[in-house]
Amino acid sequence: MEFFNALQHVLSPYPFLWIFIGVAGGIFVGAIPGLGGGMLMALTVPLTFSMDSTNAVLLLMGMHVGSVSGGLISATLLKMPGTPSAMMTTFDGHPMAKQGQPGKALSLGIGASLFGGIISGVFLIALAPPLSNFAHKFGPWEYVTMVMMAMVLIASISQGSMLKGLMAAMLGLMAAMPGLNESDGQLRLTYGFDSMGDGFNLLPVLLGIFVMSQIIKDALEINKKGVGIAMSKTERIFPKFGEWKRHTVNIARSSCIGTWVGILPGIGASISSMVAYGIAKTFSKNPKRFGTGHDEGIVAAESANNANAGGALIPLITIGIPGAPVDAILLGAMIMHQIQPGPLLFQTNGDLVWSLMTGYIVANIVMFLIMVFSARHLAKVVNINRTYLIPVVFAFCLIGAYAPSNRMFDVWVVIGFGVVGYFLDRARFPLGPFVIGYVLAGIMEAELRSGLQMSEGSFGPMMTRPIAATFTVISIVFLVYSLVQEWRSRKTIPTTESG
Amino acid sequence: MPSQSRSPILDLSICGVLVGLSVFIIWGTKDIPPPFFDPVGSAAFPKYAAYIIIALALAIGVRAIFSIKTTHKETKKPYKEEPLLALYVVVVPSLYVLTMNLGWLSFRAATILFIILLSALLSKFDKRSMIVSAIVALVFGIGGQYLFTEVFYIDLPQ
Repeated sequence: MEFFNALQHVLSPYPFLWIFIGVAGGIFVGAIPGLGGGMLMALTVPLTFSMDSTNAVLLLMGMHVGSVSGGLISATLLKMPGTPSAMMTTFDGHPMAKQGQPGKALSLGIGASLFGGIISGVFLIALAPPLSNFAHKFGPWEYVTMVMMAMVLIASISQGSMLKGLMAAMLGLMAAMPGLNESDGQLRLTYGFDSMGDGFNLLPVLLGIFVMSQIIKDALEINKKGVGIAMSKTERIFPKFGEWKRHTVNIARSSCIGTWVGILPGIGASISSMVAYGIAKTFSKNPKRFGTGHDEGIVAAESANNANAGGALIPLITIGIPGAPVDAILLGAMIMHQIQPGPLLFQTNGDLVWSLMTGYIVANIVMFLIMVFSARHLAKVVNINRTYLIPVVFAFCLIGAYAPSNRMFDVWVVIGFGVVGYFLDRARFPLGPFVIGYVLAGIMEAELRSGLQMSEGSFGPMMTRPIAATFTVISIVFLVYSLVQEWRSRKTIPTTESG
Repeated sequence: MPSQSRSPILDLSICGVLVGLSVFIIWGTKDIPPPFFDPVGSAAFPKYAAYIIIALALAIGVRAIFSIKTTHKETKKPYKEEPLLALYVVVVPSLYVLTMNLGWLSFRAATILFIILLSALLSKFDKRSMIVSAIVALVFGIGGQYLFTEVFYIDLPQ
């Protein structure tokens, strides 16, 4: 019943308009290499302050859905993924386009994105309410161990070194430390600066990490150009039903993988598409054709990365832990709109949650329609001149950081974290764990302190409470396994400097 | 997956900075009063996080030292990197923010000058790009000021 009420609301003019604007903006930005959904969402959050909170969340969620899908246009036509999640699409999308079938490559990707999105939307609606009920059983120790598990998972599954992933998570956690500690009202690490009293606010940190570091990188790589492939006017983009029938199993499997990886706290869409691509290759009758323009590769990658977006909403809604770094922005926006994601969300803001879940499915359908009718035109603008883009994006950053509290200090924070993010990225420290560490630091500290008060300073409940013990064991197993794996691979593979 | 660092030297430099930063944080926690109500207090979390960062930095640093000898020559990129432009993208925005922070320029004037200057530097003073960027600067500076103050009620620096 709630679903149909929410559907009715989402399809009414204003919410639908915001979804449409969000998806269209997301596709446009996602299609341009060097920009991304996270960047657009972070820049948009301050503009939503005067909006109705449901519409604001629908707008941002639409941007997320649009940007994940938009990345496939440049991945296919330019061999430059518009977003990191479209990386696997370049392996088969671009070769297929090069073989004279750019329309087919896009149609496969667009259709797979739609099915991936809808399947994960069904999971979202089916799993979120019972998981939210289950999360009511969580006490402080369950939260502490779950955050610990999230940080270990994201650090170990992120691309690159486990140690660097852990370091990034710890640095994010540390970035959240200065300022007023809400647990006891104590100021800390301000070093005598009044401006540090509020600490580093969420939005400036996100703008620095997601936007500023990216525009520094864009300037460094300003000469990087894609290998453009033109599309003829007669090229078909609308997917054929017959083509889809052949890919039913691949779509279902990849979408389930995408959703499941999305549910794991802190892991982004690029991992989903990698895992789904690898498994599709393993089960394929023609594994050798992967990487040469094979349709199964495009379908697996695109259905998984879109499904990830829906899966990642599940931990965000039910326990207040972002399923992917980009979801940290959605979490931040919700908090700024006085909405606290977590087990109580269904009770306190039930209408909003149902609108978000239903809106997610509607956003995927809107994405499909926009992509089918505009991909041909979008293909012409993906190589936009970054000379004009970089200054304008920074000016937006300034407004975005300055607007919430009218403090220039926050704009300096953007620049500072941008430089930090750039150097970390350059040295291959993953930025996803940094964002997740920053967002989860407050929850972890507050819950740990209240847990220790309850247990009179003992860490025993981490192993004596069943749910907490499960999370602790998973964390330890993952940590040890990943470190051993890394140690073994370092012994066999010499470090190679690569671009 | 193993770490495929671009440069062990960069890893070492970052680790050095992080150790220094952690020491600075541990020193900063000494000013925090002891806990009143709970066994942990406000100092413990940042202090232990700093210890973990030092341990991780040492591990990454040691690994970087061992990988210096085995590191292969960097693969040539199909495009030329522009470190000077990356530096401009940090310096020019800092000047842009500074002019407003010190109250020398309004958002409108500072934004117009900023977009023109940074675009000119990024395009290496290409005439055509500069004309387009001047138009973009005027539209964003004047239009942006109106849009954000009148429509979104954001109190931009005057």
